[in-house]
Amino acid sequence: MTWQDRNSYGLDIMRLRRTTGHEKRGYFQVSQSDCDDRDPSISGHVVVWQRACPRITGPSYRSISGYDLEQGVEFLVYDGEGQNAFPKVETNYVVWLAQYGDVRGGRGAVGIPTAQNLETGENWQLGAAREAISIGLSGGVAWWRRAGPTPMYDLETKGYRLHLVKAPRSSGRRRREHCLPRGTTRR
Amino acid sequence: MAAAEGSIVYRGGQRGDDALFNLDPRTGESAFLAPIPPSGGGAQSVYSPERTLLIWARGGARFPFDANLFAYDPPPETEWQLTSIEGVAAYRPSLSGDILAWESRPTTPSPVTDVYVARLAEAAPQAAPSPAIAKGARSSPRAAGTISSADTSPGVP
Repeated sequence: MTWQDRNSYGLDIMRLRRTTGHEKRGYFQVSQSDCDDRDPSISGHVVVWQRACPRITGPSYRSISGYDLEQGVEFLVYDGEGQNAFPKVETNYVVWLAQYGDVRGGRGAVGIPTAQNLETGENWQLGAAREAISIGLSGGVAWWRRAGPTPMYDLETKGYRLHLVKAPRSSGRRRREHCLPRGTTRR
Repeated sequence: MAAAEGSIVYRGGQRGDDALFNLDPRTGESAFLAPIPPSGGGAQSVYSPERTLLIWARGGARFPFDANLFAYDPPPETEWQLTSIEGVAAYRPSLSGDILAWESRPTTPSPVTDVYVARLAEAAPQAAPSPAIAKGARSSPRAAGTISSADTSPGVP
């Protein structure tokens, strides 16, 4: 793949073009495959997405791919065991749901919140349980929806923060510490 | 719900009185961002703090096969269509600085989706807001601020 033009980002194709009084815009197709590239997330010059490639039998195989807009190269973030879905990128970190899929009991699809440091290539699981319905990343903090309080995890310190919880209306006795996962302590 | 860097945009409020809010994940504090514009929308919102712009996907009954990305500037309540690629729907935006990424698929049912990026730097409308939008009518695509396949090649040789 090559770019049509170059600047510091290699994105001249996206620059505004002005002709006969009309502003015209370009775009760039980042993903180039016969697979299903979905759920993009961008931070700085890095775009990540989930790539679902069909298999002869069973569900599509989902991995996490990325593209460096500065270098103009696509790269693989993760293609480990099971389905990997819903990546989010911010600065040097990518988070996603690993082993995503339905669980017994018909409660819907869930996955294990997982992170990668793009600089070091280190992968680690943010939570031990396969419980996350969706995941987000902002300000260096990852959070994931699950049945119960929403955990918030600081990727720099690799520690939990207070959960996002609604204050109970009926009683003020329930303290926020109760919402921390078992085995964790407030820093 | 989607997040801009350093913040989370979400839709809240009572039925009929919805608004978009910005949540700082570090402090847990929410701040009012903008009302839902009269033309509707608000799904898959991302917020550009630099430009104080909201961007989201909007489509009709065939969503996402008929979706496109729209931008909304709360004051002065200007809305315009960002994407208009013939035969291709656009949705699931993600924003970093002035670069917008999104997911696209053919407007006909197809399993093949792709990821696109474009620079938002010059996407702000130059003209005054459309009176039709201000009155709550569905916005019409504008020549300015539209990403169109008829305008440029996709950049893939």
